[in-house]
Amino acid sequence: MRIRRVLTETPLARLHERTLLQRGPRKGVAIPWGSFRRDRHPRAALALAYDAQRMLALGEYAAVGLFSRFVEALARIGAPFDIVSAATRVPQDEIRHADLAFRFAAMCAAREVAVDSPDEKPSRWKDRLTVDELDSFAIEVIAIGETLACALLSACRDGATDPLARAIYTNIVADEVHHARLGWYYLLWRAPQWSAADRQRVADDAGALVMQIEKRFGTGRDAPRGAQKAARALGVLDTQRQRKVVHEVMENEIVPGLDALGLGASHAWEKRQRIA
Amino acid sequence: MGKASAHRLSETCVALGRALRPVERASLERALRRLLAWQRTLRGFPPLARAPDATPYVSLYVRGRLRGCWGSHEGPPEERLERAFLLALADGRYGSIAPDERRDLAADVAYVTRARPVRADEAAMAMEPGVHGVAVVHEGVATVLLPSVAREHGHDANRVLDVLAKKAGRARSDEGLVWLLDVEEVSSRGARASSPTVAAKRWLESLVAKSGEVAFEMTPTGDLVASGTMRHGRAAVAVEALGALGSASARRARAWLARSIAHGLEGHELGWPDRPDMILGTLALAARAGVQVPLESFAASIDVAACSPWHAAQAAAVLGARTTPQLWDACVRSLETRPFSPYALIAARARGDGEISSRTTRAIVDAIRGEPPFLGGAAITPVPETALTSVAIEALAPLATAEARRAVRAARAFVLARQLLDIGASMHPRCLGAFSASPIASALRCDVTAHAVLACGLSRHYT
Repeated sequence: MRIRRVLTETPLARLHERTLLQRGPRKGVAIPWGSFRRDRHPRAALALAYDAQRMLALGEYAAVGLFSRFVEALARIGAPFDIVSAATRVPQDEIRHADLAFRFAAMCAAREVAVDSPDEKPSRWKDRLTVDELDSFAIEVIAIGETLACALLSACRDGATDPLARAIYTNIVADEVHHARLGWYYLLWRAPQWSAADRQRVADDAGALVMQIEKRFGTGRDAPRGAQKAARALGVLDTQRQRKVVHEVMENEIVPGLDALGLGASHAWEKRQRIA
Repeated sequence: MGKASAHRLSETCVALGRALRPVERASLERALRRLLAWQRTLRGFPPLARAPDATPYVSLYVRGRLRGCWGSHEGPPEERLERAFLLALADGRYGSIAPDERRDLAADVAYVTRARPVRADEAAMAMEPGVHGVAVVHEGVATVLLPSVAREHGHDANRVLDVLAKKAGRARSDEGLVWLLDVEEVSSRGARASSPTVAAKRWLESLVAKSGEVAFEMTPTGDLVASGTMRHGRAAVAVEALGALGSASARRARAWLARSIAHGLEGHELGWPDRPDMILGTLALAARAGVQVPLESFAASIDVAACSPWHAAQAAAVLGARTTPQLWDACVRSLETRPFSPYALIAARARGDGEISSRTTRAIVDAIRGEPPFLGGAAITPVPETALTSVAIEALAPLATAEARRAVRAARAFVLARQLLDIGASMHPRCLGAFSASPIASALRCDVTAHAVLACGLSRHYT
């Protein structure tokens, strides 16, 4: 099944549009949709921006379902109310991000954009997550995933000089910061409850992920010569900058954060799969 | 060998970001030859040759047939080339290499020099099959098809993209990106021509037997094919080009053609066309080549209603003012549905028919592609053909208007790019100098090179 940006003809659509126009639930910048001039950008840069936004839309849309499962599991195991409350906001943020990305992708492509349904890929996160799976989810998807996303999207925003691209990234980053924090706070709450075996299991999960990150995120979207500046202006991150960002966020935030939880991630980081 | 401009598509596919330098091409050719020599005996693995800092893709051929193809980005640049060679050697997807074939093995190495992203839904319109390679990147893994795939299989853009999707193990989609790749290939053959004119002349001469018989075409493996559709008419174009090139073979070939046509008209010639309009076209082309033929009487005798407009116009182009009104009417009537008619333009000019001249000129100028893909190619077929584009050049060349000159310039560049001046491993060195019938055609027909020679002014060096 293909996912397209579709709204109903009910008042919900107006409400949704208003949320989109009014910067979302957190204070962010307004999105200047009318400022985008497609003809000012080279085709190669537009193609890369379209692809980046399409993949962002896919990721954000998939996150709606993933975080809903997380919320359901949190409520089922009796997690603290503040964690449950913060988690409930995430799926709403994610669908808004997906919408922003879909719209921007469509503007770059000058046509409607579709992505394959995330359900068509087998997910390791099942419908009813166990407590152990919740911990793994919090490590992989939230603490590491959202912190990385936050750093990468911030870099996209920092390079973006196109007003629309910059505003979209600014809005998304403003939420992602909270999502990443949610992961770390969840782990802070859970860590004292872990047995030695639990901690070892979580550390193994975290270590395996940390070892792969540099290689897994080692390639950005490189524009051909002549379109590099324009691609950056649209928020496209090239390989060189992406590698720098991944390295910095791993060294300064993720690895120390995992170490502080007693998960020994710096050992895994030292032994990581390095890029050529 | 610099890496400042390298362009990364994925962890295992890196474009060079610039053209290969002559010194790099020479070094790569030597390295391929050493590797080919090594694989025969496995004695003395060759020392690492310097290589460009990008991903090499090595293709191995035995007598024109692909036997292995692999890329590698493992290790430093020199090591990558050797790993790609070893991986291609062990590639079992194309039937592997038999022990007795090792001596005949030839190799190409391809480097992506530039990669340009296009939306998947625009890729078929933007790509030049046979010229561009293509790649898709899914989850960090690049799947690459080299331009040789289209050339060796005659695939158009859509078919190339289908094959790419199949190779990537995914359904073809209108979403996402396709990378169009500029690719440079270096061959172990070392067969290259410094003069396009000399190379074309030698190739055309290689088609002419001692008896003067002109072969219809040459296969990529260098074998001559004696006959094919409109054999004598096509041979006539080759004779005309050989004459223009000042070749000693021209007289011999012309004499053979005259004898064959005489036999054909008597009904004794093998491969002689059975359709009267094809005979008319053959006679017209023979007349252009300086063979005495009964064109005018034959034209007066044929049933114009059953005559293809193309062949009618070929005859009119030679007969000019002597064209019968019926034949000329047939040419003009057909312009409603087929306005691209270079021979009708040549004929109209000879007849002083200003209205038809301007109509056909407009149609031909409009048919010459003013922008990529295939800039300068005649957009009469989905992938422009060399011969049609060449005939368009011939018709437009005498015109002095700016737009005709622009079209001729672009069309000549398109045609000249089709000449084989550096033979790849998939072809026999005998193919050097020939023009391919289109960017995705591998057979080398006599008239295609001849039309190109006549259209691109290659013969001027000799006359």
